[in-house]
Amino acid sequence: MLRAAFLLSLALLPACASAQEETDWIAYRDAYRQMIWFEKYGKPKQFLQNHFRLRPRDKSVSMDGLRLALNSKTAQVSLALDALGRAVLPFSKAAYDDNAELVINRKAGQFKAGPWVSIVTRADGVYAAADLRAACEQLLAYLRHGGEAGGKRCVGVQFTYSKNDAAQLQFHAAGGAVIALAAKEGPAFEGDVVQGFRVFAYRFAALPEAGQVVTSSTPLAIAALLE
Amino acid sequence: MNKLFPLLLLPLCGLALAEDNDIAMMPDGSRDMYVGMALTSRSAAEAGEPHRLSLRPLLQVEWSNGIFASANGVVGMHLSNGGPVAYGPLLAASNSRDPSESRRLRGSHAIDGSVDAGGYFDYYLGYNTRLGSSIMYDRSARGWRGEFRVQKSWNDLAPHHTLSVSAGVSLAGDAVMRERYEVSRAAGGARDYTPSGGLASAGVGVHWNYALSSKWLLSSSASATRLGGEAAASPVVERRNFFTISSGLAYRF
Repeated sequence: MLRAAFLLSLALLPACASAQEETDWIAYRDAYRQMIWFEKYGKPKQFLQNHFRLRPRDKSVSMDGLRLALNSKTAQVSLALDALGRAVLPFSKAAYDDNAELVINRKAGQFKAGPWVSIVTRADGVYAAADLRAACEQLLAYLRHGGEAGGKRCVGVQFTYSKNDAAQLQFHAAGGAVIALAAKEGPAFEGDVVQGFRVFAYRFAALPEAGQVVTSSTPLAIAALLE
Repeated sequence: MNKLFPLLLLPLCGLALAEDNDIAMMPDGSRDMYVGMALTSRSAAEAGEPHRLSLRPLLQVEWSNGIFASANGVVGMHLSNGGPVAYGPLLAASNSRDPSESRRLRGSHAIDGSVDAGGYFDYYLGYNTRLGSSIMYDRSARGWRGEFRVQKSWNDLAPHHTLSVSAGVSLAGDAVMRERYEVSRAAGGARDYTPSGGLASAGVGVHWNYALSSKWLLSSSASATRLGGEAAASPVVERRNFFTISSGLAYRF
């Protein structure tokens, strides 16, 4: 009897161990459906990129150690997350047909998950003002296509760096003047609960129309400022 | 971006399984299918329908070519490709009815079950709100009927839960109203009654989907419907208001 109980407890041990690590899931089909929207979008989008993003619902939720995996019958693929919780979602017919799950190593309800569009960064760190204006307009047009951002307009873009990044941003006006952009502390994207990034807002109206934004290092993200 | 399934698949008395569907955003050759069973209870049957508690199948399928089908007898196709507008053709099966089925139906018309053709047009007012409409040509009545509906959904209230609320009206032309609600004394009815076209019914509904996993879905709804004046005045109609609750479990294939 005792032996049977012991064997039973041994058998249950893995179940208890796995129960300790709480997880949450997202149906891959739902994620696919949301993400493919951007791929099928037919208007200009060369300055835009689309990620699958996990966003904490409140400040107490830590991004440290957060992992996202695509689990199907045949394979488990870990999807790399950047500092802002963004991952590149693979478009896989096999995973779709398998009704695969995206699994987060956190308990349910801590994160919102879904598509996230931002402006692409450049390796050379030099952004033409006209390109950034076009990027903002592309992003706004894309959001409107999905029924969002009604009534908003582009007022600028925001470059986001981690708190301890010493990056500097300058605006080089076409006439030769160099204006340093001021850093402040804030969220990477409007509505994010995670603050404390080093952000540079480039407001179109505050600076000459023609010129370049020159960055000393690659930002984590570039967001559109819509008001 | 998170769009809903065409409204016809979310009748006030029914279940819509997919939470946020729109055009076929899936790999070529793939499909998304829910299959299950639901228990449905109606407070009063419409025009002589005897069942009050029934077990019925749940089915909703969508293919990558844009064709979709559901267990309530609707087949359609998405023709739009994104944006705030969704539209396409629809086929919908309508139920047959025979005056001999119940005493209340004496003197009414026999209705042949038919497959009716029409279309739907939905307009999205932002992320999770839409105005929906459909129009169908009823082949057995040889007349038109249509629907207008507004629906709002929330999928952020709690993890894996989706709540939606809808309100709508159902309109029918003279021919459709007469087929359903006309009574002739000569044919054995209580009195002569001839309705004219107009508002067939109005209603509100609440729908709740709880995804237990990426494969199992608990889908429940409650609705209240009030028949329009022309319909309610018919001798075949026992009660003007009726309520429906339904709950079922579906597996996502």
